[in-house]
Amino acid sequence: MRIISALSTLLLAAASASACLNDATLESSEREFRSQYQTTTPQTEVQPSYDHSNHYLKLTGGGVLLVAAIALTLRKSNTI
Amino acid sequence: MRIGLLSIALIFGSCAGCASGFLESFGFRQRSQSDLPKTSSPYPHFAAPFPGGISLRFAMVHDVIHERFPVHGPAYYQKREQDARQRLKALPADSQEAFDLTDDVAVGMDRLGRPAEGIPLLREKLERQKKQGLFGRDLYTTYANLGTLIIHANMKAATTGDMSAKEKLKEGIGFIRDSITVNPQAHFGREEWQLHIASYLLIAIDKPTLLTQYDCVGNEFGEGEPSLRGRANVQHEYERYEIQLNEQFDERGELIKIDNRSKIRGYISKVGGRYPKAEGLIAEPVPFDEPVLGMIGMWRQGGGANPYFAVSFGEIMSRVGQRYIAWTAYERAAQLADRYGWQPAHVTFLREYCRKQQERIEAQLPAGEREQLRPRFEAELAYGKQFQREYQEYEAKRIAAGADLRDEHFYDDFYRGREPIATPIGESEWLAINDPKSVSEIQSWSVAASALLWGGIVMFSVVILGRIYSWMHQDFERYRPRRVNELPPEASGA
Repeated sequence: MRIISALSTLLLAAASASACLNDATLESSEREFRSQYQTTTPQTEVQPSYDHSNHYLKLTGGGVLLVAAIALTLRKSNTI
Repeated sequence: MRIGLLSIALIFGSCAGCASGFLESFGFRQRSQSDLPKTSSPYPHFAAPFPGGISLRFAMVHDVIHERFPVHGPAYYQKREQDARQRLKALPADSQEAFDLTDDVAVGMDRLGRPAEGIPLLREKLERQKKQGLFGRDLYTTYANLGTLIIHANMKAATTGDMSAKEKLKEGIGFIRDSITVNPQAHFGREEWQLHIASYLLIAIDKPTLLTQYDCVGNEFGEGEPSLRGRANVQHEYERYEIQLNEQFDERGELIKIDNRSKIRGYISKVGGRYPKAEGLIAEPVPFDEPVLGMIGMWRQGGGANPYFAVSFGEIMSRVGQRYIAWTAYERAAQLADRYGWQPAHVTFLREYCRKQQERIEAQLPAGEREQLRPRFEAELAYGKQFQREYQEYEAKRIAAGADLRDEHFYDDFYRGREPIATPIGESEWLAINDPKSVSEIQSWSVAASALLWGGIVMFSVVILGRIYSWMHQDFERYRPRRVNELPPEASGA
């Protein structure tokens, strides 16, 4: 009895799983389905701009070293 | 000489800096850095499997799991059958309208739990169509409906070992195969997955362990960790191949560069294809949207909720990084577990497996969100079921009042003042990627800053080293022992 009952549940599940029916409602259902999920590009949120502090630090450091190197070189040239 | 040396140092340092900056900025392309400016980009599954087909949105999966779609009730099918039979009496049996009405009557019988009564009608229709010389796509609905009704009517007997029923089951599967042959792109590729899943269940009758090893799509249970891996993979692949995503689609996410369809779809995460090859089963991994669209179609247009589809949704969604949807799919599958397989062990397996998967997902979520998952799911499912109940009650009332089912305004009063039942498409449907323009600008900054820094470091180092060398050389010159003829005259005593 339990087996028969269990097999009935399989039948129900299989019926659900295999259903692929075509009738008069199908076309309108699909059209409605398609229209319900119309998509638009999301509005681009105003994002905080990228933090360039690391780049500024490098530029400043590099610039200072460059100027220092030139200054030292020129000073050396003048003292000779 | 000195200036030349410094120039070389500057060039060398700058080159090293450029290389360093380039390597640093190259990392932007590989990592999903949270501080980089983002832009929304279509997922590759926005390209539908075939031209004119529908493309998947995750909201569709969410909605079937929570029953957020309209379903006709028994009153509707009874009335439609009655009307169709009345109209058929006045129509030539070989007319297209008569063929369509025969489909309506047969499908209605199936919906009302009497599939066997619809089979002779469809067999007769097929015969009439063939006599008329119709072939190919004209026979599509007959093949699909007849195959489905035969499967429905014979599955139970087939599972008890009735050989005749098994043969009929195979005949039904054959008709489904015919429907695919004549119309391969129908209804989101639904028949292909119907064929696959019917074959899966047929094999499971002889080999019940199939139900505890693989889902109905071919995913192996317990394989892989639910994560955001799928999403990350998509982004990496896209950027690696430098596809200009936003140029491929319009603002509604519709593919416009149709020649690139297969290339873009090649980036979709694949699922399934894990079980051994067998007749009717799709044994190769497939883009995940294909079985998902097939199951959505069958759930909505077919028999509704079942544990096989629910657990497959869970497996697929967890593989493509949709953890919240996966959680709800496992929840629904656990609720429907009583209908899984035909042994108590199957039911226990599914329930325990779903709970285990849910725990794995919950472990990845912030504590505040975990507690909200179940109440939110329950509330939303109740909302969807209430909608369906009210829809069917409305139908029954209108039919009782004598309304015509073919009236295009039949449901107007029902929808008046109601929010759309489908979940609105949100930002989460789109892939957030690093904005290529901003990344390019940051890369330029990075290269320039590193070049200047390293140029300065190397040049300064050269100057300092020169100074040190010079000082050392002077000291050496000062204290070096000298020969007599090198000494100044006063020091040599001359």
